[in-house]
Amino acid sequence: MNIREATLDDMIPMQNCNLHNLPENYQMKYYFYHSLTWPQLSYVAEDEKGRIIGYVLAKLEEDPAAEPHGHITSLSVMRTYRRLGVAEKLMTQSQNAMRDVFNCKFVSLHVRKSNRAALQLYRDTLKFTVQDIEKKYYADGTGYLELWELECVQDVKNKEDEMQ
Amino acid sequence: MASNPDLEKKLRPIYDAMEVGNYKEGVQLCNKALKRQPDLHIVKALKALAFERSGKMNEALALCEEIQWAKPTDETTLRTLSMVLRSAGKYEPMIKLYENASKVNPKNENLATQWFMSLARTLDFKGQQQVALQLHKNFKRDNYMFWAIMSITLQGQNVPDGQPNVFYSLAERMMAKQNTEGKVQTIEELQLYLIILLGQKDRHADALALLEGEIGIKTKATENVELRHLRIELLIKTGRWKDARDATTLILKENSDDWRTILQYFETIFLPIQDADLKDSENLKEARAFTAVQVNNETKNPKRGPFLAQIELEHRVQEKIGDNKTTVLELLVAYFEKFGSKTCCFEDLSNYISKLDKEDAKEFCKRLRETYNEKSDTVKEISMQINLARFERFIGNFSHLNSTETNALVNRFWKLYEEALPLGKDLEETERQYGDDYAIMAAHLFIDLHKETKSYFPLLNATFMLEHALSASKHNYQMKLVLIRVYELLGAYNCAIGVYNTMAIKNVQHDTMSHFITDRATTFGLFNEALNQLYSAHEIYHSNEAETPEMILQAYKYSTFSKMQEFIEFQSRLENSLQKMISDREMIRLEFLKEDSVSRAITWLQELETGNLKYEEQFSKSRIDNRDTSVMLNWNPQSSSSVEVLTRAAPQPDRVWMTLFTVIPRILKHMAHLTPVDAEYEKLLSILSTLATSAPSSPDSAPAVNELTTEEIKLAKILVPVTKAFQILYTAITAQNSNSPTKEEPAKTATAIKDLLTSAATLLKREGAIKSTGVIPWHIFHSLTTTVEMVAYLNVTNQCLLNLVATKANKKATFKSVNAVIQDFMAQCRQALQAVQTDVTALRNVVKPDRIKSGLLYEICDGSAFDFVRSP
Repeated sequence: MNIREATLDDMIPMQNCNLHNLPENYQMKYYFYHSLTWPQLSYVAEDEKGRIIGYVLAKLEEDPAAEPHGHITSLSVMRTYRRLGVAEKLMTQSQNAMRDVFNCKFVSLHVRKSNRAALQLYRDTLKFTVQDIEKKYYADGTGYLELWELECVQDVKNKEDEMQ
Repeated sequence: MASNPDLEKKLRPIYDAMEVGNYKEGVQLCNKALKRQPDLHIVKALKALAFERSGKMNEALALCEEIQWAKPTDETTLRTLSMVLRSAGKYEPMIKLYENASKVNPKNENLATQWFMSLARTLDFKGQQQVALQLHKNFKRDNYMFWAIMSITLQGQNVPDGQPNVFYSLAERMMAKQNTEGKVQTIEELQLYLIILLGQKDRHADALALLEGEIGIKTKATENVELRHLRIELLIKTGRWKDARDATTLILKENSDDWRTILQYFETIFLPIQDADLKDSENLKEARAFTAVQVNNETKNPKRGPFLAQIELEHRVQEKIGDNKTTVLELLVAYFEKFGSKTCCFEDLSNYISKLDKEDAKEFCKRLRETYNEKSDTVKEISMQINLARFERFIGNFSHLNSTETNALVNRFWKLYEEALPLGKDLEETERQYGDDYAIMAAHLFIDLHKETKSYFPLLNATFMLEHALSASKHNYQMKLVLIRVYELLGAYNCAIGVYNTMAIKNVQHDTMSHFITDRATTFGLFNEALNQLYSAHEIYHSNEAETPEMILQAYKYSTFSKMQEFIEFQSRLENSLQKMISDREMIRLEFLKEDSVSRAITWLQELETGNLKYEEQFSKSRIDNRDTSVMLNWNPQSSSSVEVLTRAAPQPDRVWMTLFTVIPRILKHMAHLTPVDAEYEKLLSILSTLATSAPSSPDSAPAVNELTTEEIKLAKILVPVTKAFQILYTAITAQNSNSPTKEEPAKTATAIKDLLTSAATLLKREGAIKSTGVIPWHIFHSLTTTVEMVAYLNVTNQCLLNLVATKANKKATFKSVNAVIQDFMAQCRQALQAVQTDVTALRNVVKPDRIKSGLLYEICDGSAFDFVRSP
């Protein structure tokens, strides 16, 4: 498996990566926007045959009031390739770039409270801490479904930590 | 917003109305303002925008044209105008307008950059270059120089290989100058420099020097994953083996899983020496030692990379010098023992297994089976058992079974599937059950059985099974894809649509995945449902047209040079998509068939736009196939076709199919207009004749050879004589009208046309009655709908022949006998349609809903799909 920077050509296989379980329904231009503005932050994982098995889409949070920080927009790993540390590697790669290129101090992401698998990954494996809980309403066909979204944050490791 | 306070006061209410989406009021307010000041361009532009937003594109464009004539130069008007024109996909007018405005106001930087951007939208690289240089000259910003260099580079990328590339040399000189002046500073600028160097032959050493030089260090190029990878690639290309090997080992010690670096490492091992010297070489020894160390480092939670690297190494040794089979086999078995419970194990090893001798492959499975028996008490064991079953399938253990054996195997897998269910009872709704792949494999076996026996009952069983399994794994798209294909084979288009719609296909997937539901969608007779699918998938092409050019502009704005080419290529992939054209042709077929009278069909044809209806070979060849056919799971042995191919109801439509369904509407349109027979008509006829003589294909043969079904070839065969008849009649009428010495006896013309139409009529008869076996599979629908389609075409061509006499012949009575021939043929067409109707009535009675035990297949059988047959 290897991790490399995402290209526009990856859009097609990236989409198939979440053929099924991602609730997100991003417009194409949203992917484009990431790729254009912060090309160093989004990565794909390939298997040995060169097929896309996962990706991370990340951006720089543009809040002049806060410390510089990154935000994980979307992280997905194909089912067949779960539990192999792919997500962790993608995150590390993206976070390294956040630190080296944009001088980020921490990284944030949103996760639905009901998404136990994701929560476990972020909280237990990747050591994110829950910062904030936000009530969100999603149109869900017949009515409104109440979802809790957690804002998780993690400090970006500096190089010395990484060496140890 | 205009800066003039007076004007602002006038415009405010218009903006307010527009902002809240009240376009009607917007138009009214504009009209009021225009009454007082008829030549206020900004108001006109806003009115155009209001029209565009409320869907009145023609009115909007008419206004735009009016404004264009006046050549406005103020930014607000231009920006508003640009918004309207862009949504109509018209980019050219803005170039002229911004050029003019910029020349009138040479000091206005914004107008000049807009001029540049308007050129970038149309990919006019040469124009961009000139404007960027002018921008640089007038406003002295460095980034404008890079825009110019990028524009030159993009021109260079269009120069065919092997020709001297003046663009690259020029771009390189300009870049070198920027560099000596210390103006190349960012990583993106460095990337642009690298693109220019690597776009030229034999410049690896120069690119490397750049990466390792001052700018490389300044921009921290080696910390960038891509540039680090590029550097190693260049080290290999320039033969700096030691540096390359050191760089790769350094990375691998840190991340032993990095496969592309593993491959680069092997290049530094294998490339420097001849295969003959490999055996006792230091290189091989070193590689074996290194991979062994890497493997030994993996203790707790081992990574797969080092183990796969070892297999790859020994596999290469076997390929290059042989005598290494046992080592490879042992490594493969050991790998399974370590990672057999990982779901990706099959993907990891299948490539190597496929390269083994048959006996070794059998041995591999046998040994694992002996070790693991049928143990499946835990999730891990189930996963391992499934991997083992995949390998057994892959090496051919389940091939060529008879019905009894297949059914027994299906039962075994289904039992295993059910036994795995309790373990997954707490899984979230978004997850899959642990035994899902057993159900999919059982479905694959049913598909084999259907192919073997031609019976449709195995397919019915597969749908029951998959629908049942899907209720426990609501989001398993692999099951859904098999279901869609099986439903289509069973002629149950409504069921297929139902499943497809639950997959939430979005964005670019509409281009890559929609073929599953839109290929030959006409076949099922559910015209509206098919059109809905086609139109919703087509949205992606509109959004590509509207959005991607804007992104290219953003790339200039952010100076993201490394992405520029990617965006342009992405745009082109969608713009020139093969699927886009195939689905466009399918829509034309359906829209035509929906016209419910001959006269309306003729009007429809007359209004049909031909701009897109290209059939030239160059056009076909330059279509890009983005369709995803590899997404369906497949564990079939390499000697047999994949599940994706096996479940195709007919060969995949491709360029030949596209040509046929381009040529047909073009010929019909020609006739509908009663256009004189010309060189183009001859050309269309000649293409159609060639298609009519092509051999039909069986569903699983290579698509490149033949992609038309027997019925589709018959369409061409019938239309050839009809096309000729029009030609003969047109020539005869012209000769009669001008009383030319070459004019024919009318009786002779009538005979010639009769011969042609008779040959068409013979082909119209379908062979044999349609037998029903309880289901109405795809090919029966196909046969019926193609006949209906054929008659719909013939109704139009017959009417056109009659119209030809009625409107073009000076003495109509001369062609009385011709008219009689046509009338006779029309009766035969009616008979053909009646035959279809008889068949349909019979089928409807056979497949009454109560004959099917499960309500699941109600849609297949309730006959709603048959409404496409109208009374003749």
